Amino acid sequence: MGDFGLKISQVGEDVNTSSLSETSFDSRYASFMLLEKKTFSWTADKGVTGDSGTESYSHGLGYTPFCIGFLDSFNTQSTNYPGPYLLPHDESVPTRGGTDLYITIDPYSKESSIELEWTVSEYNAGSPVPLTDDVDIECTMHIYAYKLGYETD
Amino acid sequence: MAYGIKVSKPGNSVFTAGTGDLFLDTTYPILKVKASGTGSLSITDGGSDSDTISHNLGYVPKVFIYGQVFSVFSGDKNDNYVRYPYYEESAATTSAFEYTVDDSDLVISGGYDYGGSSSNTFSYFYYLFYDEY
Repeated sequence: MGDFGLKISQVGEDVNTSSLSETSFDSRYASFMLLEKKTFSWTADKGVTGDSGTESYSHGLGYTPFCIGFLDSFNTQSTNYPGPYLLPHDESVPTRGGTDLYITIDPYSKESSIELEWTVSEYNAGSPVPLTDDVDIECTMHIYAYKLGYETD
Repeated sequence: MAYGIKVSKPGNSVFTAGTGDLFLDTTYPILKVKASGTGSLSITDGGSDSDTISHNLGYVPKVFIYGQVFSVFSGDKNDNYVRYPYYEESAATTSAFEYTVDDSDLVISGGYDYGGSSSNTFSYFYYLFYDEY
């Protein structure tokens, strides 16, 4: 069977001779196809010292997909911090009580699920203290139909 | 009527391949670049700088930004390109290189406070997609 597929050159370029950088689309190479956006919402609890956890979603694809994750926002009782910020994300912000609030969110893509590992900690002069406020966090993972580990030519 | 284009990876039947074995399936939206470019931020210790890139899409698009940063741990500019946002903090020194994006503009900004008087230029590059965040 002969070579076949679909190729679209950029405007002003000959599709028969265009190089890859002059080509808008070439089906010989994988495209990032968006399958799903999955939103996670959770709360780190006031009064807990060094709250942490893992948010998980079973995608059911049977392979480890390429994902792009965003921190949509995180909110304390006193302040809203709007995103979007690309994950992973580490940030330190002051609390209303003058202590330092640290947020860390790391995304993981696995064969059966995607996961967000998170920690929310508060420090006073370098020493851990209980969280002053609840911290509401929302993230969105964009799941693409690209099997991680696939080697192209 | 269902219609579209599917292209499978070599060795896979396009009729039975799952999404992970397809190079293209127009059932799903494909990541599309609207704009990409480079720029730089000129910053003196204790100050900041920002650039605005207008996209006027009317919605918040997906963006990736990579650039040079100031490291408060080395006390110098890091010439490598890292993903923004990027934050460092140590004692009374801070470094923040970040972005905001809304339905009309991408704003790339940076600043550092190391308690000195150095000035640096930090290069960056960005990708802005048609795809909604």
